[in-house]
Amino acid sequence: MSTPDTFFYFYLGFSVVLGAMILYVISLFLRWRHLKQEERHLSEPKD
Amino acid sequence: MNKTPRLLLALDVLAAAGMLTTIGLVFLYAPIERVMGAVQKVFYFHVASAWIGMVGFLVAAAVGVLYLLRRKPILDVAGHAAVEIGLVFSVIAVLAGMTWARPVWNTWWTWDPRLTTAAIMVLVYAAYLILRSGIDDPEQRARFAAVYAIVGAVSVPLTFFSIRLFRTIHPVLFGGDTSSSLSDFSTDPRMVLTFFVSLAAFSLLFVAIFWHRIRLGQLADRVEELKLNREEQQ
Repeated sequence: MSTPDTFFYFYLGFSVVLGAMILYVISLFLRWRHLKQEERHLSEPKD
Repeated sequence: MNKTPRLLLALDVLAAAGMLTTIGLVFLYAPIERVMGAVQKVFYFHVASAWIGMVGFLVAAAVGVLYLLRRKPILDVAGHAAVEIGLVFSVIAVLAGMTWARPVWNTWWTWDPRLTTAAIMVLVYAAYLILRSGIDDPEQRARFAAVYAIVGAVSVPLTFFSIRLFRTIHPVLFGGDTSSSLSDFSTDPRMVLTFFVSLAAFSLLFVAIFWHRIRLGQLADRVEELKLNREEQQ
């Protein structure tokens, strides 16, 4: 029995895992940046 | 809060190095399995993601118990962080499992006990995030989240042991039937090494992301406090 060619599914699975992890890390970074901006804005003395 | 602690930066570097090593081992070192072909390599990411998912949920339950005992806001922040990370990695594990299942089982999804309990676990924790966002009072929210995380943790052992408790087509990695397709992997030391390096790398990644997520939660609380102060001044 020859080994089946399942490279497509391997690359698909790998892309899904890596892509989802990168997206989550980016979301953490964007949320942090947004909150920092908001914190700076709220800490400024009001006119 | 402003400066990232050096230990966290070191953890980030270690986690990134661990992930790169894992990718290198999976692509260049681990052999291609004879029966399933290259798709078997998805297993190294699938199991490690599932592991992190379950660790996240168990940490949330442990932190929930501590919150109920000590009532410290940081424990609620940590519980929220652990559930979010656990959910992200559980979803990744399910998606990776689906890409493996398509060529091996000839279907993306089947209502096998392991897949069903994993889906229930994901839904339980997705509901946690939705429900906690609907409670305005911080103390009530934290109390609710702690109890929910403790009760929800029942789904973790149920998912883990489902392949041992019920008849299933899902491979059993440890202590399973030797005819299981993945049981053979233990005979190849390159597969074993890649598997444990992957587990260690994902575990390091969990610690690093968990720390970052707690800092994010603390910052969100601080912003919330500033908003309330400003509203009171008006």
